[in-house]
Amino acid sequence: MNQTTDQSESVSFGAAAPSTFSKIFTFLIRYWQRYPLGVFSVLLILALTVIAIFAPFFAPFDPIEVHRKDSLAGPSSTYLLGTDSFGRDVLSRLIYGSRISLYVGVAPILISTIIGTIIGVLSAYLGGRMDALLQRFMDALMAIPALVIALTMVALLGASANNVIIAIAVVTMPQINRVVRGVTYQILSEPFIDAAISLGASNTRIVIQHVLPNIVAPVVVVGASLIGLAILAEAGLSFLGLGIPPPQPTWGNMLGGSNRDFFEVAPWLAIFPGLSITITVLGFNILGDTIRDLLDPRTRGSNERF
Amino acid sequence: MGRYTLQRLISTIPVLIVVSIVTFTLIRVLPGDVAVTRLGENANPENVAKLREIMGLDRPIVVQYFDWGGDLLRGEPGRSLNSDLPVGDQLLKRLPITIELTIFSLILSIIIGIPLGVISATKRNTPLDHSVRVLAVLGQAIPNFWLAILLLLFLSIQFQWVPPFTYRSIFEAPIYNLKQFILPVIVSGYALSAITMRLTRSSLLEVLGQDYILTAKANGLTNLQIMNHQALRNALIPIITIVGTQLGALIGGSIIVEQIFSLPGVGRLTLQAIADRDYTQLQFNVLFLASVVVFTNLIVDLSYGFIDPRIRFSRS
Repeated sequence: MNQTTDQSESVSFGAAAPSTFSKIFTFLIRYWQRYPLGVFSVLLILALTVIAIFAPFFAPFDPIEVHRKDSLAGPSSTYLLGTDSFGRDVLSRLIYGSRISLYVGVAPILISTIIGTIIGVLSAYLGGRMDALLQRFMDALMAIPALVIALTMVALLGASANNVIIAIAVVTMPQINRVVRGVTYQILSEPFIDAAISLGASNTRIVIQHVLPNIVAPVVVVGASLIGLAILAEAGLSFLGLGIPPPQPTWGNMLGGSNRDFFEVAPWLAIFPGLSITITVLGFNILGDTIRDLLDPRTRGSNERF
Repeated sequence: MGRYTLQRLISTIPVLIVVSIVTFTLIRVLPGDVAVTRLGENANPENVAKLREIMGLDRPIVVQYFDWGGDLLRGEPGRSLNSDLPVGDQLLKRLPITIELTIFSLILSIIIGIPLGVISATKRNTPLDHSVRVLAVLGQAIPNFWLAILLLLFLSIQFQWVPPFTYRSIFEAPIYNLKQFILPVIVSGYALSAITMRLTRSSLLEVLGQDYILTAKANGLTNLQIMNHQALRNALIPIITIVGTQLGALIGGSIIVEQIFSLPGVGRLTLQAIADRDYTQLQFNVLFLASVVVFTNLIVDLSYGFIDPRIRFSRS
């Protein structure tokens, strides 16, 4: 039985292979021509993800291993990007730091997207007083500068990756909610919703069949740009000493704390972590812009790349 | 117009009340006891209880909220738990620094962002346009504290120049003050100008594609006339909206910028209050900053009427 399946699979694979590969190839080429930066951002994010997952494999040293003799060594063939005041390898710390940046960039946005979507849909669906109440609450959350909320929460909850994630989820959630509520309102006024209701569709069915599919696109666009914001927020919090505590390396805390005293004698300590943050945020922002262009029929196919 | 303004002014009251509830809950419900922080982790529980009683922290949270609300309405926001100075005075003393930083950053972002956005839109797809767009995309991706570090590092290594680190007001020592503010303003202003640039460009491109622009061209108006009379005015509403909504981000960012450049402004006071668990000061600062954002959004909303007569007339 097994053998037959294997055989049939290999046969079909063998037959389909050239056409599948050429399809993927032409697909990539087509998007590369139209959205070179978009394709580049996808490749960049993929590369970063691979580096983060296989950090022990890529990093030449243990990121918290102290080499007293080589403290503040400049970039060399041993330490490609130099060492810090403890003689820790900057490149290895950057590679391990990418784990935190990606994790703290993506996780809170997933959380805020789920909660923001639920609240947004509920708010638009229920309307009236409940809607007004929920939205005043969201207005209030948006009025308080995000960094102030995040700093306060992390300071009170304690500096750890999970608390930073909770704090960033709280400050990004109202933005998702606003987009979702707006789109839901618009969809609920469409004639096909009236048709569905008159056909006896339940509320759950309307939400799952009609509302949610229409929300996906705008939420993905906002979500992608919020990931960049979340990475910046984590870096800012860690820089102020209220993010992920050392010795665990993050791109933000590599730029803060006692390292700052050595920037003048060892500029590589200042340059590379910041460069990593900038390139990563740039990648997610361009990805967000590209998705928006792809989904917006007015700009689709035009040469508006970012 | 007057009635509409009044209506909008009244509509901010519920938002401000909710802001006060959110602020209070955020700060009080989360763990972390100021009495323990003050007396140290190993303090005698009896002393902790006594201190909590003196600070009024032993009463039910709802009672504490209404006490605080009542005090605020009476114009007595309380005293700092840390320095025992009135929190209002503390904030007022720091306010000029943050106002100076915010206003200069806003001005810088407008004088860079709007002209570059216009150039980018009118010279679309030229190398000039591409450079402006790269500048804008970078501005949104660079962490402001890293930009600050790089600028400080570059100036001190290359020119042995370090900005003065003790604050003096612009009225007392104007040149000294400007030397101190130039870098923080560049750092805050650049991030904001990036957003202004992008929005000016896209908003203007949309307007320039409208039929009435074609009509104006057919009537023989010069590009400059079209830009000044038709295009820019119509493109302005989204730009003003974004500049208004970015104020919150600017204030939030000022915490980091003030910290790096040792400017003793509201941002630094807030950061200190967070570090010290100084509830009264922190609550007052957060409520104040949120009110500034709420009123800025109100002013932005009302300004639409001045820019666009259609909005003005549809309201009255």
